[in-house]
Amino acid sequence: MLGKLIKHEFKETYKTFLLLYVAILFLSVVNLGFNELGDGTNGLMMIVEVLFMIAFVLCAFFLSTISLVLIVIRFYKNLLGDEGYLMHTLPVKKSSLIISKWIVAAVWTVCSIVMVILSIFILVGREVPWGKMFDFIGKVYNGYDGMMTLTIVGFLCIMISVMSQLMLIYASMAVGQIWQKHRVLGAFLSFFAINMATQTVTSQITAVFMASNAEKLNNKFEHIVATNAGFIDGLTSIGDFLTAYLSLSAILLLAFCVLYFFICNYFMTNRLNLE
Amino acid sequence: MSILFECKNLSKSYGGNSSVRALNEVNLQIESGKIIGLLGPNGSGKSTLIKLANGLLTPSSGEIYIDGNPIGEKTKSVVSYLPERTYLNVNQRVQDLIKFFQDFYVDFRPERALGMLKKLNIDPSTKLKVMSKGTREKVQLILVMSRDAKLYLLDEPIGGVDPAARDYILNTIITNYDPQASIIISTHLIQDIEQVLDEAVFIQYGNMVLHKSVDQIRDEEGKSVDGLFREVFRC
Amino acid sequence: MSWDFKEDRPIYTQLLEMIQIRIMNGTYPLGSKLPSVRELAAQASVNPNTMQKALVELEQKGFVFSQRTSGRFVTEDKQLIIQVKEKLAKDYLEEFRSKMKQIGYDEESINKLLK
Repeated sequence: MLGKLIKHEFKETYKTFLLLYVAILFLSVVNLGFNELGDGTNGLMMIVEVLFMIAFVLCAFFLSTISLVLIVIRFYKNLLGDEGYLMHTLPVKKSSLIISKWIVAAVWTVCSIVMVILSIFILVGREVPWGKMFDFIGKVYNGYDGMMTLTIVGFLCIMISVMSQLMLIYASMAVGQIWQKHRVLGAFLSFFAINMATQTVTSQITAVFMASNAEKLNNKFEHIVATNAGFIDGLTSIGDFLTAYLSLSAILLLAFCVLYFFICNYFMTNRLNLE
Repeated sequence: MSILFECKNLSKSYGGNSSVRALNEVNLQIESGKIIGLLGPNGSGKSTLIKLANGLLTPSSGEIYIDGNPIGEKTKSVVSYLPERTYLNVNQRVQDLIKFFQDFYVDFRPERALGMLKKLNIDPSTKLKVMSKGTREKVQLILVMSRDAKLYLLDEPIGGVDPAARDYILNTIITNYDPQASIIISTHLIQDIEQVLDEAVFIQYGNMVLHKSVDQIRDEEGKSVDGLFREVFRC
Repeated sequence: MSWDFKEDRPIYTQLLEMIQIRIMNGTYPLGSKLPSVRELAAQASVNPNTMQKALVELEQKGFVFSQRTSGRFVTEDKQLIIQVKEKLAKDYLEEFRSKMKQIGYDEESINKLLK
């Protein structure tokens, strides 16, 4: 049933996101066109060019925001609005309803990030000194043998962070809807409350972690300064610490993600109040 | 004949300190093969009872069973629910909705739905949002009645429709009658559906005040269910 | 003919009478096959259980009979129908007479009116 829910979720959301992606790709191609072909003399053309550039920047800047708004609206409309009368009476687990939305939302979020990068690529790709960049990256990976691990952990951290954030938003909406008359306000308040609680706990744990590593880290920094170490040597020195820190973040984010899920599930199952 | 729907001392309260008692210790048993009228004024608790039956609400106390099972995935797969509102995504085409129902409900019969749509000259490739309200409601009814469910819950199916549509709805209910299943119709328009009902259940202020067969009421009270209703619920 | 029901009597007894009348006036000819319970119920816009109840009683009274696989048929007993028809006619006349009496018509004035 989860598979079916995911299938239908994609079916019902792809058009909107596709539109968004086509728009931004179009804008980046158009801007590229202007850059290549423009001669900077025609006044009207310049205004049009600038407008398109502004449009592009706005789009790229806000793409992830728009993407998030679309995800929030979709969850609200489909599970907490009138469509909820259909979805919550389907012979599926409530957790499946939540997870199907979560997975599809994560996919779209990642796609949006990729799209922004891609569109920037299209626009300025020509200017980037690719050769030198890859050279440098190669040196880093060769020079610091924990680089692969660091990259993987960093990537996981970002992914888990995205997914945790989504689940937090879902949980906030699930809690907020118990306040019949002010569901949206309720969602915002829940978001702030849960987020604050999360931050408090996270900062406490991080503080402990930092404190226990403070001396070692201090020594490392002193050494780096003293020896005038280059980037790669510096990285090698504190790389393990970074990996450990990111791992801790990832684990915390994951733990909170699970907590948010249980909150969301509880409120959708036992405190559902459609209308 | 089996007991398809049963609630024991079922209660539901809302608000701080359970200030609003929507349902109060309701005890009700409904056998298979019956068409039941759940009758009462607005706010009497009819909708609450239906939402408890299809899992949209959880009880404050008491028990509720459908076909012997507590409310959950299993009961949802044998309950076909028609809410009072447009509850489908209006951007979808009818044929998409048919596929959706087919995917999630094993007992959904697409041929039956397509047949009924054809008779009404509704093109399955039409999107819901371009249809009139009446046509949309008919589509929702068709989808709900195209399942071989055990319990049909129809919340105000004939409120706000023209007489011809109303006749169509009643006709659909009668012709899809299944002796293994039961239909609960919640409404305040009793006159129009009385002759389709086997039994009537009166709900007032969250309490069940009457559960009798329609014939019994006419025999014993010498008036129709509608007449008795007006008496019992006189303002 | 439409199926109109009165409020104060059970529906199945009214159905019974309505079907009897339809047999009497040839809508359901003697010996003919009746539509299925569900079809009849849909025609009359009534609950199929109620229609079934009415048909079962009609069977008991001899107006219809069922053949297990083929369904229900109207009786071929002409006599029975004539009997019931006559009784119903007499009932209608009685009703007519008493109504006319209520507004002051005696036997003679009724006969005059009927000419």
